[in-house]
Amino acid sequence: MLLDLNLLEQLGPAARRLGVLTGHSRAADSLVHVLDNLASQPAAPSTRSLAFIVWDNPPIVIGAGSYLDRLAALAGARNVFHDVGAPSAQVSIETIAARDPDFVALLSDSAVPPRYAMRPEWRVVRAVRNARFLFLPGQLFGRPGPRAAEAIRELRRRLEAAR
Amino acid sequence: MRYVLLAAAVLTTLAAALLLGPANVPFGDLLASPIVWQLRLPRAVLAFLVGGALGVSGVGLQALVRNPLADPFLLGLSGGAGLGAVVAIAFHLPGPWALPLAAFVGAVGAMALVYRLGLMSGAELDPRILLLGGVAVGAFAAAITTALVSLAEATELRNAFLWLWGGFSGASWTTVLVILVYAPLPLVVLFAAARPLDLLALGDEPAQYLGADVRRLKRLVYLSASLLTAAAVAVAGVIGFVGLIVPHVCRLLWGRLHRTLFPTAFLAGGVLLAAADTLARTVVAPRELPVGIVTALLGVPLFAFLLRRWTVS
Repeated sequence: MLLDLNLLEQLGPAARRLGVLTGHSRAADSLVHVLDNLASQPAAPSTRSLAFIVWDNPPIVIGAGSYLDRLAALAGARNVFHDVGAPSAQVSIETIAARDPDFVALLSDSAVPPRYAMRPEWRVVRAVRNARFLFLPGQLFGRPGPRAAEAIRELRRRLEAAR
Repeated sequence: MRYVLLAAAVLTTLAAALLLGPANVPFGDLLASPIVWQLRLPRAVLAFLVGGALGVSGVGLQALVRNPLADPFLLGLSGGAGLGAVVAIAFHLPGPWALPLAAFVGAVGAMALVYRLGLMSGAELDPRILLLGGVAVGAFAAAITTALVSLAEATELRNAFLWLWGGFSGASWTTVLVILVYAPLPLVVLFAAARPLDLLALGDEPAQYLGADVRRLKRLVYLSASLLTAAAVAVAGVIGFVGLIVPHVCRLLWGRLHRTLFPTAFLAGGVLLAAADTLARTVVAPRELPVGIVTALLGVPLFAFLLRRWTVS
């Protein structure tokens, strides 16, 4: 069985379905309750902005169709590409520079700045120039899952720490 | 008059490339803005140079194989470049230059293979052998590329395909320097071959009788046009249609003499690709289209128009 999970809102129904299929409906229901609550929460007031950059050439960013966009909103950060409806999209470096995010968020298990950060064309982006990177571990942030609440708390903590 | 219009098109296209973009740069700040100096200007210059290189390469190859359908990428170069790029992505080759370098090596490898096929059994770069060899090498490279892509992760697969469609996202003064280092020699060789290529249009034997060293000419033109294309692929990915369309448009407007065709194809190719890139980064803003899609969308109707003209004439 294949579950296509791209959004936080899809986690609850997926957990319910898995519970039914595996005969653990009661346990699944408690998880569904937590996940549905999480998905229905209003976005926290955003004081910071960020851009999730997943590839540098061509630059690919995360849009509103991805759970990461919602994750950022719940953690109190505004994804500067929230107006892009797709989960991800190709944009130009100039667009990223024009949107001027406070942080560049990267799915990375290490805290080593990406290689493109040294390239002159990327240094036009203020967050890149000032090395304002948020390194998000792939295990926690790589895909939506039952640890979504933990991911939100972790992102909020990192945003606070980077203040 | 046509030359004046071409010069005006060059200036207008480059001005549009500098003035248009998602960032709002006030006109008075154009000269001081890093957006213009570090992003728009190198990108416009690179697009212009790559377009020019592909245009000239197309003129050279169409003259060499005496076939108006010849395209720099028909001779297996795009297949080789694509394979190189996918190898670099699939095997996580490190460094910012790994991918363009791998694409360049792939294109040159395909070129060498087609060249070798073109010399088999004394064929002496027979146009038919070159075209068939190009198609075969391209198909072989595409098969290996598909196999690698099918084994790669989904994200890598998409990134590889986006790169293959071509674009100038990675444009910088360094990439401009790369094409400025690679392009002049093949360009000079091709421009110098203008008169012998006019003779070659009459056929191998008549060209030989009229004083052209046909064997040497074919080798030089093939190698120069291929290297020019490989350099373009290395900095911008695979961008189709420019090398196919531009020679036709230039022949239509400026005639068949290569002394005129080469410089006009360089400028017209530059105009076409710089304009296509400006469209690619502005029409669906904030998103960006791979420039190869724009050249294909512009090129196919133009090509259909040219085909109709030939049929009617």
